[in-house]
Amino acid sequence: MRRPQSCFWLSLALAVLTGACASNDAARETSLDLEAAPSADHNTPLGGVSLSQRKLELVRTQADLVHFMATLDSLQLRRDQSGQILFKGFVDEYLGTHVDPMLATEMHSEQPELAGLDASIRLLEAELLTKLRSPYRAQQTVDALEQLYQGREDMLVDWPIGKKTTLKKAMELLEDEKWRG
Amino acid sequence: MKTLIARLSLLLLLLGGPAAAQDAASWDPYLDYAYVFSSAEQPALRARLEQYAGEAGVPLDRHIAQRLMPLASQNGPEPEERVRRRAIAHLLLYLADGKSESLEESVEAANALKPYLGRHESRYWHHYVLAHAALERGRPYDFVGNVLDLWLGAVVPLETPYETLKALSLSESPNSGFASSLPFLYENVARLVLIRSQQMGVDRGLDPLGGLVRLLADHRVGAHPDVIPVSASSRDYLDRIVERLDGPESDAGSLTFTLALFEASKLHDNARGLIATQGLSGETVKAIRVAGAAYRTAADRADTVQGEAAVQTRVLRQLGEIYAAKQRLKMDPEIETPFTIEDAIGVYTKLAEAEAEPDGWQELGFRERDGYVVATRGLWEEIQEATLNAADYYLSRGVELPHLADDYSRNAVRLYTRYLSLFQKHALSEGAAGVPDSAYYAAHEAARGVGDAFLLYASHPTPEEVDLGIRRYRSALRIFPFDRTLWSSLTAALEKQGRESEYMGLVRPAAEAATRSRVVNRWVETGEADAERLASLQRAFADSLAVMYLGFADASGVGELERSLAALRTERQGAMGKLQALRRRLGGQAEPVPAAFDPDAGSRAGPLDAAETAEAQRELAEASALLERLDQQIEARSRTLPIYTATLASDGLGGELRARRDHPLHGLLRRLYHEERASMGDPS
Repeated sequence: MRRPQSCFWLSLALAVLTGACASNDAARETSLDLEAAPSADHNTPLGGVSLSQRKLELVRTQADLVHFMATLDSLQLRRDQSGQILFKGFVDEYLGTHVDPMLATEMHSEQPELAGLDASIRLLEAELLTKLRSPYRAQQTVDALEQLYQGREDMLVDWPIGKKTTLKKAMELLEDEKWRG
Repeated sequence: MKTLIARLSLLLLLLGGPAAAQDAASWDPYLDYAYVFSSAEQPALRARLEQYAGEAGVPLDRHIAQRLMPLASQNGPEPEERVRRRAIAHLLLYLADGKSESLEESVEAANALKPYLGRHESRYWHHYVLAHAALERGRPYDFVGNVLDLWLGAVVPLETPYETLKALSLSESPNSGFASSLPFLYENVARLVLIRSQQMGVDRGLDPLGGLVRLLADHRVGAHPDVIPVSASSRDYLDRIVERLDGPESDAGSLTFTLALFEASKLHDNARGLIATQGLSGETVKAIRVAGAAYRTAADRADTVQGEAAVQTRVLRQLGEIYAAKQRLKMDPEIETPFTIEDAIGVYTKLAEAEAEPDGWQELGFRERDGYVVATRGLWEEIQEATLNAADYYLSRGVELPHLADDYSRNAVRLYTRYLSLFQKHALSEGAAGVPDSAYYAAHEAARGVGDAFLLYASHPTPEEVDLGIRRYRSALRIFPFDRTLWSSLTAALEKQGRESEYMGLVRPAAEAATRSRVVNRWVETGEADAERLASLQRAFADSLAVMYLGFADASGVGELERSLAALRTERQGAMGKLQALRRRLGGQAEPVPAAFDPDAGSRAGPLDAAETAEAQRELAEASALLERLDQQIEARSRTLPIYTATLASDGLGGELRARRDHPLHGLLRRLYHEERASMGDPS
């Protein structure tokens, strides 16, 4: 991550290798391994601890992405090249290893208490990916948004940061921003 | 149980009290829970390790030699726990004693953990050790990389499990594993980034960690008081850093800059404390120099005008404090500073010019316009305070060294004039966002200062200087007419030049402007702050006799004026008696005074002849004229004196305005100034 250009693939390979090690560990410690990543949800929680935990996780992720955006903007404004390389690598990995797996479910969009958060996070992710110069991944995120929230474009979302807009308006703004890069 | 021990250890460690470790016959539990105490300050950590050594029956270095040394390769792969404990043990020795060999051993062990990085605990210690090594070697890029990796690899994956465990009240369960360490990991990362990096002198390249610092401040550090009491956490420190990181004193969100400025501010506070306790001693001067150098470092780290302004604002505060201390303590030690008021004015100009561009403030590094306005006004206020303090210092030096009074007065005038130029350049538009309300009173002070410098302090001012001084007094009157003492200063200056007869002509415009001002009238009518004091002055300005009193009467002479009024009344009584006597004489009435006591009784007894009648009539006319004149004087004085006396209640208004930049009257002065400019035909 610190040497993203030349060492990205090496890091990826290491990650795969270490992931394999982790799997071995997990196999050894089976169900008591509380540090293992939770498996993807298939059911939609309607309340209780599961829902509140998931909500908490989404809220925290949304806040974290807002902080990342502020930091990225700051680095770009000051033209801090080496800082940008480090931080973009970090954000990229954060999105890939934490946010994407978390959003890899349709459950959020189907749960009224989570849908707004889910859509806002996806918008934030698309914006961050645009800043990371990953237009293809940004487009994938937008496509997922369109697919998941078809017919609900009037839903209010927390995007751009600090504002509330309809999803339709947000998508238009995002499209505009994506092309401006 | 282990968790409980660890918590107790931390608490005792933080409280500096004796440890109460239980069940500890080996170093292993202490090493496994080292994340609880590894961030302690060096002396506390050293004491802790000594205590643990006593409890374990063996010092840590010997424990490493006996139990944790690398195994020979033929013995197969070394157990993960053993490698991790070795890395931790060496790190603790390094942190306690500062020996770089210990760190190298720790790094070697941390690198040997690479095959085990799938386990969060090993990943945490791996990056934590390498981050310390990067600090030791002065490599910010590696440091940042390791901290970010630590966060991604060890903190992020634990957050959800920790919350789940906590929700189920299982976070203290023995089976909760490393997940329960999360609050300590937050604390350790915060201390590593904010404190340790600064102790190790890493003052560049930390900006990508700004993101993590914001995350730590967002419901992480200090959010688990059941595990780490808020008072024992770095919560307050973190909050202050984040407040600055996102506030007007930032450099577009640069953590490197924020930490550098924060360090400089701490050194500044130290110097300020020494000024208060030791005056301008050698130690104080040294502390001032150290703070100045730290501010220089912060300025070097600033990439944006926002950052430059933040440094200049604080530096000028220090400059003003130094001049105030020199004046108060009557000392003039050699103090060097890498900053000047001119530098600050240069930065201010950049800030002010951005006002002309739409969203120009964003280009300067500000995230919000409010922050831009606060920073710009803050810098102006420091420029004005430093200027006024420096000029005051020169004037006071002139008093102490009369043979140099002319030189010092002219130095002061240069400072005042520089401020007035700044004021003329930026404050002529009422809506100038970057000009604080207090700038107007400061302009009054500067204008008055020029007058005082030439007319009160200088020994031999030139005629041109005297003329300039009088003109500046008039300017000062126009900006703030409510300082009673200025009116008498002007007459004193005019008297020196034999021009006191010009007084009324010079002050009338200011008096009339203050009387007819709609903003002042509205202020008084609505009973705003100090309305009564202003009203009393307005009444005086509307009365030409009171204006004369303001110029020529000394405040301490009110009693004298009242006595002279009483004397006039006595004189009037005498004149009245004489008048009545003359009237009776001319009317042929008998004198009420017994003839035996009146030497003229014989001559008054009979009717007056023609000559006597003419003389009596002349005396009567004179007495009538005198009485009329006395009546006029008494009427005028008895009407004006209370008006003038009432103005004395306004004394101290100027001092209050100088002491309080947020005094409500500052806003009135701003409006008054622009109202008058508009009335003079200036559309701006």
